[in-house]
Amino acid sequence: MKAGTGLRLALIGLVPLSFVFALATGSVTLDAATLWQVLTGIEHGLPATLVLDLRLPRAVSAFSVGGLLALAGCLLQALLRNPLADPYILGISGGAAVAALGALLLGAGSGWISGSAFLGSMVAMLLVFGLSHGRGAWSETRLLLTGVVVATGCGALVSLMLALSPQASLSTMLFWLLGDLGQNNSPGWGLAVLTAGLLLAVPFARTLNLYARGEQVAAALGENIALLRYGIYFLASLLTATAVTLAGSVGFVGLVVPHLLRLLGSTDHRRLLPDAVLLGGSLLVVADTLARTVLAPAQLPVGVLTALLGVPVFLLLLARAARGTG
Amino acid sequence: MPRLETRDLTLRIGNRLLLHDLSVAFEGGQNWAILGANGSGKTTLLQTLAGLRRADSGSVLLDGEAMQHIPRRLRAQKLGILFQDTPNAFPASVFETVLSGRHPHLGFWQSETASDREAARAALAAVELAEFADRSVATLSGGERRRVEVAALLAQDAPLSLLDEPVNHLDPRYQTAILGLVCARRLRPGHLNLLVLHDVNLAQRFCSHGLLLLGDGSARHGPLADILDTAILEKIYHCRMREIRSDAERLFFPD
Repeated sequence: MKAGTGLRLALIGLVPLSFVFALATGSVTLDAATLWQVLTGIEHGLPATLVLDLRLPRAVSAFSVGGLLALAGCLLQALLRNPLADPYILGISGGAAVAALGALLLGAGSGWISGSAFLGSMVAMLLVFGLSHGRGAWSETRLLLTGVVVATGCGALVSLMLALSPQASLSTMLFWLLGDLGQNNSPGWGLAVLTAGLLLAVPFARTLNLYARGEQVAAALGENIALLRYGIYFLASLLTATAVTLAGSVGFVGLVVPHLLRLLGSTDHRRLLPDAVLLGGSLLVVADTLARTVLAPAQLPVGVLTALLGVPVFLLLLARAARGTG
Repeated sequence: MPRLETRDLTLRIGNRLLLHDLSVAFEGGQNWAILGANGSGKTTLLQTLAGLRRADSGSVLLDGEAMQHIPRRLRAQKLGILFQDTPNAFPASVFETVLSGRHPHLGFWQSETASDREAARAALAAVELAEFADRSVATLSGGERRRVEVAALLAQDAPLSLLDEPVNHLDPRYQTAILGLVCARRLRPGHLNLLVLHDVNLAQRFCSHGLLLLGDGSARHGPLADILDTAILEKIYHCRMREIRSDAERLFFPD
C-alpha cells in the first residue's frame, strides 16, 4: 500500500515536470521566471505566443497520445492475457496507416489524412473482430492471430505504397509511420477521449484483475465475460484509433509502460490504469520535446525517441527485478 | 430441497456422449467424490454444475432454481469452483490473488473492506501461507500455487465448493491437510463439496458419497461405501485393481 502511494505521488509529480520541460525548451529557451510570467498572464508578446500557441497544445496532445496508448496497452494485455500485446498488435494502426498513406498519395490535406486514419482504424477493428468471431468458439489466441495477420497484411500494403510513392512525399509518410505530433492543432479531443476512456475503464479494473487470472476465473466469480471481452476490445480499439489519428503510430509506449509499472509493483489494475496514463503521458511529453530540440531545427519522429528513452530504463528495471526474485 | 441437483443431465463433447440422463441430488452436509478415467467428462460435468457451461440437455438446479436463471453474482456467492489449472500471465501478489476471491461479495463501486482483507488473511493462514502474502505468485512452487488457489476459494466463502483435482501438485502432508480443511466445511449449515479425485483411497477417507463416471454415458452414485468395489473400479479405470483390507478399511490399488 505504502509503496503504491509513493509511486503514484512520484508519477503525479512527473506530469508538471514534463510540461515545464516541454514549455521551456525549444528554439528559444525560456527561464523559469519568464515561463511563470507567461503562465500567469503577465507576459505577452513572443514568449507568450511560443508557449501558449505552439508548445502547450503540442505538449497536451503528446500527453493525451501517451496516455491513450498506455491505457490501451494495459487493456489489451489483460484482454489477450499476453504480455507481448501492444495497442498496435490487432492491426488497428495498420488499418490507419494504409488509409492515411493512401490519402497522402492522393495528395489530400492534413484534415483528410487524420480523418482517413480514423476511418482506416475503425475498418481494421471491425474486420479483425468479425473474422476472429466467425463461427465457433472465441478465444484470445484466435483474436490475436487474426489481428497479427491483418496487421501483417496492412504492413505489406504500406510497404507497397512507400515503394510506389514519389520521392517528395516519402519523408512525410515515414514521419507519419514513426509517429509525429507536429501536425496537430486540436489537442482538446484527444484529452477528452483519454479522460472518458479512463473513467470508463477504472470501474472495471477489479474485474480486469480477475480476467488476468483467466477468463474461467472471472466467469466463476460472477462476471459476464462475453460482455467484458467486447467492452475491453472496443474501448481499447477506440483509444488506439484516437492516438493513431492524432500522432501516427508512436511505438513502444503502449507495450512497455504497463510492464514498467508492473515491475515497480503496480500489479492491481485499479492502480495500474491511472498510473499508466500518468507515466505514458509524461514519457511522451518528454520524448516529443526532445524530438523537436535534439537536432533542431530538424525534427525527429517521436516514436524513435520513446524507444531510445524507454528501452534502457526498461532493461535496467528488468535486470533489477530478475535479481530480486532469482 | 437439495442444494444442487441434476435432472436428466446429458453432456456431449463433439459427437462423444459423456453423460446420459444423470439425475442426482447433492445435499448439504455431504462430501462427494467424482471419480472417472481421463477424458470421462469429470471436468465438463464440474463446469456444467458450476453454471459455466450449458447442459446439452436436461438441467442443473441450484437451491431449486434453474442454473441459467440465477444472476451471475448471486451464483458466485453461493458456489465456488477450483479449476484444474489457473494460468497467471501477469505478476500478482499472493495476497491480491486470494483477495480476488472476495469479488462476488463486493458491489460494482465497492472496494475491499477490512473484513474482506481479514477473510483473505484467514484463508492464507489456513493453507499455511500467511508469511507468503507479499510474495509474487510467479515465485512460488507448483504446490504452493495450488494452495494459494485453494485459499482464494476459501476466501470466496461459498457454501458449495466444486474442486477439480484439488490435490494436484500437493505433497502427501498437504494432500490430507487441504482435503481435511475443505471437507470439514461440510459441517457448516448448508455446506457441500464436490471433489474430482483420482486417488480412490483419499476419496474414501474424506468423502461420504461418490459419483462414478463409467465413460460410456452411464454413471453410478450413492454412499461411497455402498458403490465402491474392485469390479466397478476395474470398469472405470480399465485396469486390474487390488483390494487390501486393513482393520475396517478397504484400500484399492491398481495391480
